Amino acid sequence: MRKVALRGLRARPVRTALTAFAVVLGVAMIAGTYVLTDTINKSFTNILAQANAGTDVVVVPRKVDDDFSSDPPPLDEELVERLRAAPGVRNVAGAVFGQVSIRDRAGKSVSSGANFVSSLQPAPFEQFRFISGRPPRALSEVALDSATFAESDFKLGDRVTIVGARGARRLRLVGSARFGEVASVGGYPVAIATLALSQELVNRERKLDSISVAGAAGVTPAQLRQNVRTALAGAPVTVRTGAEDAAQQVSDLEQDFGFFRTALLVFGGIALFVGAFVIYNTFTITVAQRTRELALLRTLGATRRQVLRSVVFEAALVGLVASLLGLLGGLALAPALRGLFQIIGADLPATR
Amino acid sequence: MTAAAIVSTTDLQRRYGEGPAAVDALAGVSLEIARGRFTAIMGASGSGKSTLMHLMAGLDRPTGGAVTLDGMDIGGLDDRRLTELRRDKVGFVFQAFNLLPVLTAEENLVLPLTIAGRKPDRDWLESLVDAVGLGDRRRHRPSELSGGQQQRVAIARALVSRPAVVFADEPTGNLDSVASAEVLDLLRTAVDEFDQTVVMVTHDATAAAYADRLLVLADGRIAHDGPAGTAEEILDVMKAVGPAA
Repeated sequence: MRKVALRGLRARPVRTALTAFAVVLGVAMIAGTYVLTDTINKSFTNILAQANAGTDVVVVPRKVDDDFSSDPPPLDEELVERLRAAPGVRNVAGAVFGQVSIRDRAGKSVSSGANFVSSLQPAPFEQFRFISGRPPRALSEVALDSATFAESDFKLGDRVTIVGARGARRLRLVGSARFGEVASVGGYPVAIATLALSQELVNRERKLDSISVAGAAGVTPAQLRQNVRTALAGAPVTVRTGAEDAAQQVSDLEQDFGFFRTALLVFGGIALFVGAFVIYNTFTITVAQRTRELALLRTLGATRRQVLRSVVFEAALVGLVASLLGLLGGLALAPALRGLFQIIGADLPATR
Repeated sequence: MTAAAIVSTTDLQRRYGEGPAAVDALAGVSLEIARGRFTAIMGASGSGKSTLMHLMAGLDRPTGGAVTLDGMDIGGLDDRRLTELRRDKVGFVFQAFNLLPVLTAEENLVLPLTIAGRKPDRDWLESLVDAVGLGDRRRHRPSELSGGQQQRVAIARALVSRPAVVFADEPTGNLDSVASAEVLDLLRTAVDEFDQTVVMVTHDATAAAYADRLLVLADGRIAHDGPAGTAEEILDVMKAVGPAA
């Protein structure tokens, strides 16, 4: 009976191939989505862990409420001085990060979406890796993420206009940098400026969005966290170890990128849904055309169960083989999807 | 029922539909089919000859009366037992589409055994292949065989499990006279040499002349029962039974 099913598949190669193709497409789409998004998440985890490598403890403003999305007031700069005096602290640096508008040489915004400025942090906290030029050192200097640098055809020494909270500033472009391993984070243009310039651009004079702390030799991050908490007692802050902070950022990013996985899965779901109809149709037609064949088998003494088993065996075989092919297809599709997103400007990390 | 009877029916009835619109395809047929004999069933379209065959073979269930096949009352059998009965006790030859197009001639020939999960007896298989004259075409697909060859493979398949009785429904209906003669010769051989019981439904007097016994049905009843004789004699019988036949 199994032979009859196998021969049947071989005798209808086009129909078998089309049915299998429908399964392959749907499975490849779903598998590709999961491979890609899992790779991205893993990469973010690695990048953030790497970027946070020199940071033992991070201090950020305490959120008023987890479900209230409004940003809490920034930290006072004087907290840095309090931390410098805390036991076990080797290095302390503050950072700001905020929205600005970066203009290209023609004076137009480099991207229709959000643009950001990130303050340069001293070693060992720096998250950017400069691939050309050097880090900005003066209030008149700025660097760009390497994707924006390349896309807007900037050259070192160009004048870049950045519009911040207090109006436009014309700055000299001194370098381009990658964030960890990627040219940009999710395709958002980022300007890198000194802390003082960044604070001015986002209107946070003497204020900070986060403070990074590195511990002295022999001090564990957990001990340091306790020391920092003690030193900042009374201030409205949240203190995390570098690892905790990286995990928090990953989970924030995963939330931000959740739409991405959802969107891709919707496509995959549609592919499977349409595929299901194709498959249903094909099998209905197959069974209808095989009615005489199946009736003959019944007449010759095949039980209902034998006939059912042969049809189910045929379907299961097609499903299994096509699913395996789809899985392989998904592995091939993931880098292709990533390439597609790179082309439209979202450089998603997918290595390491 | 005599000891020699392999199939017998008692007041067999088959009614289609209900109420005033009901049609009696079979209105009470009692008969006995003798073992090792070739019986032809004739009758006009709608006379009930195919219905009778389907009931005797367990392909359909009667609305009245009983069928005994090889000593078993098949009326009380459930679907599984009826399936086993068809598999082990009955061979079938139809007018068309007897063979699975995806299997070779030989695979089709042994299909009833394959379904039953049994191995064919080598000698028996070879003698059937000889009788069919399949020779070197045993690995051909049905589409590569002539209509007559296909029907002869179908007959060999009906014989392969050595059933109690072979039912043939218009086995020559789609064949020219030469191929028909070969097919009927093979059925005759099955009876004479393999001691097989064959029941054949046909409306062709020439085909019926190969049989030992002729049953004629009209309006769901037996209208004639006697030795088959020649094709001319059969035609005379049919004329006598009624113009419609």
